[in-house]
Amino acid sequence: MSNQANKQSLDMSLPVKLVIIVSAVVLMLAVVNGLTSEKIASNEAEKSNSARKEIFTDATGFSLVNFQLTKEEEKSVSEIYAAEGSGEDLLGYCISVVGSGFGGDISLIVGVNLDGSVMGVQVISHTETPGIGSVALDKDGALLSQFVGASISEVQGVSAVSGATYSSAGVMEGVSVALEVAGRLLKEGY
Amino acid sequence: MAEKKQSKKNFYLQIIKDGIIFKNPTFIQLLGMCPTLAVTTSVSNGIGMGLSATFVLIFSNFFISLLRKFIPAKIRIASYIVIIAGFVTVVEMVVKAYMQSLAESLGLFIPLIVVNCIILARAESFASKNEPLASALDGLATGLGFTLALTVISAIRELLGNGTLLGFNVMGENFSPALLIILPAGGFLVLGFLIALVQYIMQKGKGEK
Repeated sequence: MSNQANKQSLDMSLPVKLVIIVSAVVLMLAVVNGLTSEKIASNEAEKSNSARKEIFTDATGFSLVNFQLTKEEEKSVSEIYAAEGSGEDLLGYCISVVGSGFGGDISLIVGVNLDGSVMGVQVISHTETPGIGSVALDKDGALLSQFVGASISEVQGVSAVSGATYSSAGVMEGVSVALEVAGRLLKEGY
Repeated sequence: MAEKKQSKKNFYLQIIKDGIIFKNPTFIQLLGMCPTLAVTTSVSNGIGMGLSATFVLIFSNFFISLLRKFIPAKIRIASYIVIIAGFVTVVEMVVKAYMQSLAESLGLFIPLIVVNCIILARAESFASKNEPLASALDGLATGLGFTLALTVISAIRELLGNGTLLGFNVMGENFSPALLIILPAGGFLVLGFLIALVQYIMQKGKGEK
């Protein structure tokens, strides 16, 4: 009898102890998150900003564009920025898109000219295999440079990097969606 | 008294030797094979991964050892995983905030340190039975052993597969890299040859004694 009671009290201590451990870990994470979250967010914003500047080197400012996207496009397109020159004239659009690679999402910023061709492609973040899939996403690498000047019909003709077929396809998919959106943007004259 | 001090010193020395060489997590115990094969495509990735895991090992070993009488045996694995995951998340946030380029190149493999079996193995086989200080030291030694192994493997793979070391071109213009070594199959090959070499040296050392 007493043995049984003993067992019961022992079992009750397990969840309590686990809760104590989890709470302590959560507290630690909350503190570290408080210390780093701002820095991480500003790092990311900084990165997108400098990526846009790298595509449109002449631009003096970027402004967020509110554009009605279709349901399908909403899944991959997150932000559209208009690049403005010194006289507030439109230079083109920077479209943030997501393509699906081998290891997950690849986020890109695609710069589109006023004639609907690609100005430049910048990779913001990805989870491709380091040293294998990531080779396709190298800045100034074989893949990204092929897109420069390509129109929507030419994107499919870009050749993938060997060993990184999925990652290359993910980038192509992202660029095609961005060009489609940009085509409608330009037609409707935003 | 002096003898006790001496034996303690020997114990610590043994921990360091075991962690780095005689019980090297990668070459002798064959633990943590997934990150070993996956991230060793460049030296900077290998060192980054090794040091991140070392950090987690030191802290998880220390705290698990500190709590070893508090944690009931029945839920010890769950408790260990929570503590390890906590420290891994700390590493992930710090690396993302202050070492962005490393965060980009290691990507997914930082959160995957949670399931790195080296860390759980040290928690279960060492930290749960020893003093906090010795456990932290064991974490440091095992982590350095892991880092050393990753550095050697990644140096060979980067050199042969890409012609560079730490990103610098060292093989000259005419060298055409063997892409195979960078690809997953090359990881297995390099690892296999290194394990064979380590075994050979160990056997030879034993024979001479």
